[in-house]
Amino acid sequence: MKRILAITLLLVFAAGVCFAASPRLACQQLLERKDIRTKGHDVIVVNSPGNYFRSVEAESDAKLLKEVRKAFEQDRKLAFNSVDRFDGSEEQEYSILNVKQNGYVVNIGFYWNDETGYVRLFIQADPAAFK
Amino acid sequence: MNPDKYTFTKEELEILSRAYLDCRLTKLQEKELEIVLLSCSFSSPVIDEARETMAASTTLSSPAPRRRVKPFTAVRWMRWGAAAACFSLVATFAVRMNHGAPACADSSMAVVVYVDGQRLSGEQAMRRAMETQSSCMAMLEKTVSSARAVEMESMKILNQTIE
Repeated sequence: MKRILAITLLLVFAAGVCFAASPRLACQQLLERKDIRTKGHDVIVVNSPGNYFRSVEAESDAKLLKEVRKAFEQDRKLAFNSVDRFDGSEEQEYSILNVKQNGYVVNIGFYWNDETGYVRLFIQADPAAFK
Repeated sequence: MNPDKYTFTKEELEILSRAYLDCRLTKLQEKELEIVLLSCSFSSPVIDEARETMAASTTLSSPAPRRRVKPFTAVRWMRWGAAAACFSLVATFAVRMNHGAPACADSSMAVVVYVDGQRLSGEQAMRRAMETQSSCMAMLEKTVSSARAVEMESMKILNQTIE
């Protein structure tokens, strides 16, 4: 009985450690999803020394826009700086977040148009920020 | 039958052994006969068969050695703790290795491009990736710089108003 209890505690502890060991950004998780590489989406991943960049862009995808907005708002809570802008001529909204992770600044950009469903999300930083 | 009071003859022991083999003795009598046969030196086919049967039945009926239950002492807790710490270290390492930025094995650039669900390769992928990143970073610069400019302008107007 005690052994079962100890093993259970050990598993719970390990699960907690695994969960705590990956304080990943919601936008990063979204961009790493394989199911976003579908028709209507442009997905870019660039990984080079000193530069890690991921982006997804869709001309008209209300569902993706909703998901991106949700992830972006989650990450906003972690940001030490944010810039929001509405461009009247293009009727696009822009939001930039700067989040500190592993001592590096992670730039997250989110551009969208609610009427057309246009959405672009990108994340850029030094690769060490994600290790 | 009391082994302490009686001294059995060989014939008596043979009769009792046969009775034992025919299962006609009580449990108590069987035990007593066992003691007698172990302590005497008579030997005959029936007595020896009874001895062998007794040895076999004793082996079969003897309870399985009881597992010693170790008390859950502080040392055992420490062992479990050490195991948990090792496990969590390994788990953390594995999580850190699997998550985050994809490994860039060499110092070269790794590019993955999907357009409309189709993967581009080679020069085309590289060009597309560079264009997209440049345009994103330019938009970022533009957004931040225009916001700064507006902020500066607002502060300037504010200062002028105060003066």
